[in-house]
Amino acid sequence: MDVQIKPGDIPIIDVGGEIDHFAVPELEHRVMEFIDTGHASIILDFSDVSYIDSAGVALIILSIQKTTPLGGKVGLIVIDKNVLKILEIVGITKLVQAFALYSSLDEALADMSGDHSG
Amino acid sequence: MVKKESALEKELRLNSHTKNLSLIREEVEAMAASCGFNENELYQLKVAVSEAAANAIEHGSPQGEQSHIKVSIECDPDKISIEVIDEGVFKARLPVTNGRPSHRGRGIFLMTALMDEVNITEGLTGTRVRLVKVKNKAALDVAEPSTV
Repeated sequence: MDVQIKPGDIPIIDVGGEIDHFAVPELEHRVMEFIDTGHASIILDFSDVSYIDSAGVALIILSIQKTTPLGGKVGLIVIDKNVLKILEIVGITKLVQAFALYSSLDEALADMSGDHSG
Repeated sequence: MVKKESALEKELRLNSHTKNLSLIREEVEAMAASCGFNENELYQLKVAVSEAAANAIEHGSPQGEQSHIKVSIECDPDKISIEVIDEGVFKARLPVTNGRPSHRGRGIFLMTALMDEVNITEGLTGTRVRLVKVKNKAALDVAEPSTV
């Protein structure tokens, strides 16, 4: 797993590779750093993620649980059809209140920058 | 690490550490691909076996990283069977929090959603999770996504 952080009003956590039980603790630490320092909204750019398991799903849900009370939102970018299928199976794509699924970073930034929740 | 290997079966014995999950996925993918499973099925197999192995590593390893997990893969003409065997007791890891599946509950749910058979057998020395996937069956029989 590769992680690149792009700080800003809405931080972008750009992840590539496989998000599994081994990778999640480090990724969770980096995501929570932003949320715990007051960023209500974050973008998880999983465009280059080819694999996700229940630990990765748990991280997305934890991020939603942490940002919702702050009035923010988690923007998730997923392209890989297999990763999308896993998210559908566990029902995460139904959490439309506090979460938005995008197919590109441009789309995520355009939408999330406009709602002033960052 | 590889204890037994042939064209149709393979057995791995690994230290109980999550860093070995990617290796387990690679081995299962390679074996299943050589047995004729399609791309969708390969992905489903990787997720299911990885969940079973993560469960074994996190909850079925009383000696931590010194414990071992065993992964057996066996190809038949119409299906693949994978067993993940650990050294722990299973019943302590069926978590439900506030009526919702927790992190671990989701892993078990994924296994059952992606495989044709999931059998969990608890013995005196460990727990055996057996996953069976039938070849070239219609992808994902899950009609409706569950709740998180």
